[in-house]
Amino acid sequence: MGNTPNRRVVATAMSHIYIHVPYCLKKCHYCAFYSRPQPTQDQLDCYVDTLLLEAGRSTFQWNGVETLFLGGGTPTLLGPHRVKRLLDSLPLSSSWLPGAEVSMEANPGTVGPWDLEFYRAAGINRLSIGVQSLNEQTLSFLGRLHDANDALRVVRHSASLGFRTSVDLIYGVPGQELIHWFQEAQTLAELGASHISAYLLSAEPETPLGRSTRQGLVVLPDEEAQADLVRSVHDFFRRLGWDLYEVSSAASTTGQRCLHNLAYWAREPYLGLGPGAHSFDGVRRWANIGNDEAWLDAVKKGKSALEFLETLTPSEELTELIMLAMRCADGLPLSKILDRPEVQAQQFLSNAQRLAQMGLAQLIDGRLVPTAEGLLFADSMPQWLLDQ
Amino acid sequence: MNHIRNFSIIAHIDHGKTTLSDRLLMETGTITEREFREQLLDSMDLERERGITIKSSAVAMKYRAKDGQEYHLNLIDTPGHVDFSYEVSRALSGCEGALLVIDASQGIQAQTLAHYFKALELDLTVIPVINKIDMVAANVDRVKAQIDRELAMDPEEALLCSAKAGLGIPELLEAVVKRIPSPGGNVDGPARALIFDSKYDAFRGTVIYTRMMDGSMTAGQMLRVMSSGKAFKIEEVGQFRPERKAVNVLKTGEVGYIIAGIRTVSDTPTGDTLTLDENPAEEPLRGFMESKPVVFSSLYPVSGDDFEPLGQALAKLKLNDASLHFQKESSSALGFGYRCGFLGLLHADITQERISREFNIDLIITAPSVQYRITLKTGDVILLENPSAYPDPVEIQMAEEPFIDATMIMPDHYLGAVMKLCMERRGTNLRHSYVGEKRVELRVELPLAEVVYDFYDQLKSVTQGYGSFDYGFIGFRPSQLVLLAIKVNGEDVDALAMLLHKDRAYSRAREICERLVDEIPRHQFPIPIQGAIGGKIIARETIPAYRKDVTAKCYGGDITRKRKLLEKQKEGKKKMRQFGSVEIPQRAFLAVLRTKSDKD
Repeated sequence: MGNTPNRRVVATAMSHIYIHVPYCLKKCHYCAFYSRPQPTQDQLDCYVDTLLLEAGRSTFQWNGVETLFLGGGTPTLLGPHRVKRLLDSLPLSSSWLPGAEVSMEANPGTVGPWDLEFYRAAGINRLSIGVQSLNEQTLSFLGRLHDANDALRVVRHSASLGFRTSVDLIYGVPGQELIHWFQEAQTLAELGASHISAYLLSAEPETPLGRSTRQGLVVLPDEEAQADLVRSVHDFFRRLGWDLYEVSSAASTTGQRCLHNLAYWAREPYLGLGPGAHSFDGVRRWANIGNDEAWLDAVKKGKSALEFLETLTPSEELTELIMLAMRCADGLPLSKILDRPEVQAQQFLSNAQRLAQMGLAQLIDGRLVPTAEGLLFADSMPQWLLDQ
Repeated sequence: MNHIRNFSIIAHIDHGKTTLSDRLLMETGTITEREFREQLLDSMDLERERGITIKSSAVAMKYRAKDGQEYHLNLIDTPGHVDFSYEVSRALSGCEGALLVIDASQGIQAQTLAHYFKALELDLTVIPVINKIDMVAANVDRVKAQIDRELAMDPEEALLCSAKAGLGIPELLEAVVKRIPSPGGNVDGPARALIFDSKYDAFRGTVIYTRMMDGSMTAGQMLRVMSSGKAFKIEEVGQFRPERKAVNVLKTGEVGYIIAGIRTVSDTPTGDTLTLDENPAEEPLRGFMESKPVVFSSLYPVSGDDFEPLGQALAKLKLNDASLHFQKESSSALGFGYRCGFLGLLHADITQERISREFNIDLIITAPSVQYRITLKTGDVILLENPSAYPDPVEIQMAEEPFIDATMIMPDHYLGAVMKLCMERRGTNLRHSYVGEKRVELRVELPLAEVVYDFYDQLKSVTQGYGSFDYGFIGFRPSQLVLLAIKVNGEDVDALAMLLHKDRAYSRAREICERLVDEIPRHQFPIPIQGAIGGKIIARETIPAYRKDVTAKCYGGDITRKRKLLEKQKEGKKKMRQFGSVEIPQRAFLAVLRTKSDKD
């Protein structure tokens, strides 16, 4: 048992920080994330104070931060001043690694004409812009508040200011033509987006879209059609010469990949701050209280803001490892698997061989790499590979 | 000996045999009204519930006849089903006479005839008894006409009674005394006792049910089982009144039991002869045969943990049922289980039900099959029922399958449908004759394999329950036997292979493929399912591919939720077993292996 590298090491320092901003102007029809609509200025100030309080209490060391991600919700609702105050006051601000990735999600409807310059100055160097679509009908179906022109303006501006610019684009929306989606992606790339998060619309149960689907008011593409859509979108990026490095993520070059998300998929430790934010220290996963008021209250009173904590079993770790790695084009380093005492190496390799015969994965340089087809079966991979 | 009467009651199922037995016990004061409970002789729950007798039993009654003398009446109760026809014939051969019970409203049925002919073969005096005469639908005249025509007996010899209401019982007992002869046998000759059944008693070991044909036996003597030569010291002899009661000596002509410290009923096979070690008889009694299973089925525990308990349960049943055969078997589809041989379908059914009921083991039961006889070109003859043992067809000279001679009696307007059913089941030599105004008897020779596969259900269904059925073995006949292989994704699935007649193969193959399509979940590639005979594909279905299995979003750090979702899905897929790259869930095997008539 002595020789188990990379295993069950509890992190004491965090290199990846996630900050959840739980506010939106209005909730989108498909969104299952926690958020509170229409926050007041006071609420936003109070949020930043509390977040800094929470960060200050963290027992983790803050050296060598590689990525920080401001997500939501709608972080741009905070406005440049609050974002600057946040980044300046975080205990980690002195310990950025050179070239650290500091991302923020931006909703085109909440970005004022001069905001982006200020965000840049505040230290944000990557924007993830929630474009979703450039088609008005699709935008209104999704319940987005901005229009296509807002989105185009913000993307162009972002790229011109030197932000690494990513856009979210949703496909599989009823009434949407895939050919138009391709044109939109092309347009955004030409405007300077170097990363596209391309999501297949899914009806999460507790959303308005989920309810409409259940009631039969909205019909999403069936399984067959969805599979065709995913394949087509993947093919589109490959034709474009982009780096499709994850099931829903494509970068214009390898250097434009989202390092923060890669950290999740590689199971590196990360610290989440803010209501509903998740954290991982290598062995345990935990999450803050989702409700913003309850979170505020707990943090202010110095009480635990934890809502959930689990210590992963070796078998759970294994499932995660495979499920996350196999949704990435780089696949799974065998060294991470075969040394684990609970893994029957022979069986694993023979299962991997079987996947190879089925054309779903390849063994390349000590990694098990999903093929284009295999990428569509990432969720089956843990079961297939661990099958006895 | 002049005052002993040994007799049996024979009847078609449900014609009132057991009720009549009970009534005779009451009438003779063997049991009191207080002790009277329905179907006293059938002591197993299952027997009582189904109204059928699995084992033979015996009871001794004292009866003071009208001539003022006391008689010893020994009633031997026989199993009531065609599966146990050999056991019935052995029990009957311990008697001099039989009461042939006929339901006054249903008249003569298939088993009435079968039992009647058996009794005639054994030279028994048969007394026809028309039972249930108090029923509204009773038609005594019609039944009498049937007795005249079908049994060629004087209908005026028939006694009328209602066992349930207690009508006509004294007359019946008088007839037993007057018409049935007293037993013969050589009182002074070497002892010969007929074994007509054995039961296992947890405290005493095997209790042998016997009829002394010659000589006598007493405790302390050494008995010898003639077929095996094994000897045992007699601990106790006695009679059933109706509980076991020890007596000093079991004499010629008497019916009773012997306990000799024998641990398994297999040591005292039904039909065998017991003699005394000291002065053994030279010849055993005629008619002994080893009981051979004819219907085969595999039992697998639903839970793998129940494999050991299942083996123990079978061993326990075997203690009391020498005709049950079983051996360990493993299937890549179903895990570990037992291959069992039974005397017939009912025997199989009852055994399975007792295991689930008395031992509380959930079972997976494969569809019953039969044993085939293969003559190889080398001249060797093999018996096989397991497709995996099927030799290369080029080595086979001849294949044969067991045939039966079936008798069915039904209202005549069902004849067409039943004949059609029999033709479909490869029936030959169909003969029919009227056995009453509107009732026909149909006789037909059928392959047993066709009968074990839901024939009863079909017969019941086409005759709306009015058809009765009985059968006897004819023997093996040449058959165009083929090995049907089932391929999933190009690979043979051994558990689904089966031996069957060529004419049946196409429809069976299609049926199996269709069932598998419904039961095997989609994979990420299309899965061909094929039925093949010797490489030739005779049926084909395809399971379409499911096209993806990946969730779009995986960010924001909430990995837990996603992992749990996956683990939940995995749980659902747990019972799958693999073939090549296709996962076949256990329920798919069940859908194919189980009989059609199973509810689920």
